[in-house]
Amino acid sequence: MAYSVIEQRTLDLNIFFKDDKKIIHLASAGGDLPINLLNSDEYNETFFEELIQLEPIFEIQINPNLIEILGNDENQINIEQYIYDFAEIAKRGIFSYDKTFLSNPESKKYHLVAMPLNPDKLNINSEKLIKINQIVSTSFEIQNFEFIK
Amino acid sequence: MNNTILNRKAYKYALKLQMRKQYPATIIGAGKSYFKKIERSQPISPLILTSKLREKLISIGDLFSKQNGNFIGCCSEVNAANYVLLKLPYLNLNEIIFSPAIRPRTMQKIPTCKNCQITFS
Repeated sequence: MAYSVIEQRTLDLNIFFKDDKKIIHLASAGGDLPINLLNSDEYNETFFEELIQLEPIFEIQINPNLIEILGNDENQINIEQYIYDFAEIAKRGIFSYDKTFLSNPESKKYHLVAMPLNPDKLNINSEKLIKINQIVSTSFEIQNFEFIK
Repeated sequence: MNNTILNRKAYKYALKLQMRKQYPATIIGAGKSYFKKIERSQPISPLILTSKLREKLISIGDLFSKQNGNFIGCCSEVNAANYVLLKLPYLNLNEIIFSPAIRPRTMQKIPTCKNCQITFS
C-alpha cells in the first residue's frame, strides 16, 4: 500500500531507491513524494533497519554549498546538526539527499547533502528497491526530481 | 509565560527524536501560563478536537482537506494547541503561545503555514 497523502505531509520519511550506479536516500521533509516512489513503503523501513546495522566505514564528502542552498543565515541553521542524519547514511555507502524547499510541500527539488567516496564497497541486499531508468546526478547543485515518475 | 522555557522544551524534544531517528515532519511547543505541551505533526483525532479549534479549522475548510497548499488539522501547531485548549478551555486561539516549529531530522526552524497563521492569529 502506497504512502497516503497525510503520511507524506506529516512525516519526514526515509525513502530509498537505486539507479544503475548507486543507492539513493531521500529525506521527504513532509513533502509530496515523486510518484514513482510512493510504493516504496513496502521496503523502506526494513531496508533502513538493515542499513543502520552496518558499520559506518565509508569516507564521505559533504556538499560544500549547503549554506548557499539552504538560503538562511548561519544563526538559523546549525550545519553540524543539519548534516548529522545524512552523514550517518552516507557513511554506510548511500547517497543522501534532502528536500530543498521546506515551505513548498509540492516541490520536487532536492539537493545532495552527503555522499560516500567509495560506494562500490557497499554490501547490502538492494533487490527490493525501486530502480529508476535515469542516473541521479551527484552534483552539488539543487536538482529537480520531477523526472522520477 | 517565559517563552524561553517552552522553546527549550521543544528543542530538547526535537533533539531526542533526532537521536532516536524518529522523524515527524515537525514538532512544536504550545502553552499558556503553567501549561506547556510539545506535539508533532499528525492528523488530529476528531474525538479529542476541541469545539473552539474545530470551528475555526472548518471555517478554513473540511478537516483533512487541502487548503492553501496544506492539509487542515495535520500541523503540529493544531495538535499542540488542542492539548492547551483541553487544559485551559477559556483561552482564545490567539492567546496560545508557540515555540518555533522544528524539523527534528535537521533541527531546522520551519515557518508557520498559512492555515495556522489564520487559525492562531
